[in-house]
Amino acid sequence: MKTLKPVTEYTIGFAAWMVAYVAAVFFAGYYFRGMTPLGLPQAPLLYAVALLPSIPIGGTILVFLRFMDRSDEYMRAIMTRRFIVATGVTLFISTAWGFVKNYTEMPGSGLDYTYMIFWISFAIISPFVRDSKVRTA
Amino acid sequence: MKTHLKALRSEAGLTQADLAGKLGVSRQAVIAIESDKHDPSLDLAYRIAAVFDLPVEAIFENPHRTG
Repeated sequence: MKTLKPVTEYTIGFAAWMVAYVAAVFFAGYYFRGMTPLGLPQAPLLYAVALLPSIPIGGTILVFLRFMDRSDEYMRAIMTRRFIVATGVTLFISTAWGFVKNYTEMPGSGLDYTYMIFWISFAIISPFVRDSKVRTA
Repeated sequence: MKTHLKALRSEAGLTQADLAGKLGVSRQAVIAIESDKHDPSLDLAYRIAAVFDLPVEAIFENPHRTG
């Protein structure tokens, strides 16, 4: 069987999980309005359905990690650096958001947006992280 | 790390995509090595040396060797 190129596998995998994500979000929305054959929301199913949209998010992260693993050494090195920098930016923004929310009237928990903040950070820093070398001195 | 890869590749009449294909890496990897944005692993350096049938130090200057 012919093996897909890493970027092709990544594109297909990511798209498939995003379709699953949209389906899960819609399903959860209908479930919590009591509009599915499952009836009105009640525990423990309520928690399972609430968690459902997060499963595809985990899937996309696995797809990305596999893409990094299957790429050549240069792509792996820069993707790893971008992943680390984006994670740092995400931690900073999420924490800052939490503090601002504690002391002000700012709405939301911030946690809902963690994944989105990560990918926006990743996209913004990517053009600046194109060098696999750690330059010292 | 100073490299003569770009000159050697041109002399050999290879495009970046050709060389990438011979090495089993992406074209971006070849571009990054030629523009000193990536120091290749020892394994990749040996693969590059094998393509041009040269010792590694004829392609990548050893920054630690004096004289």
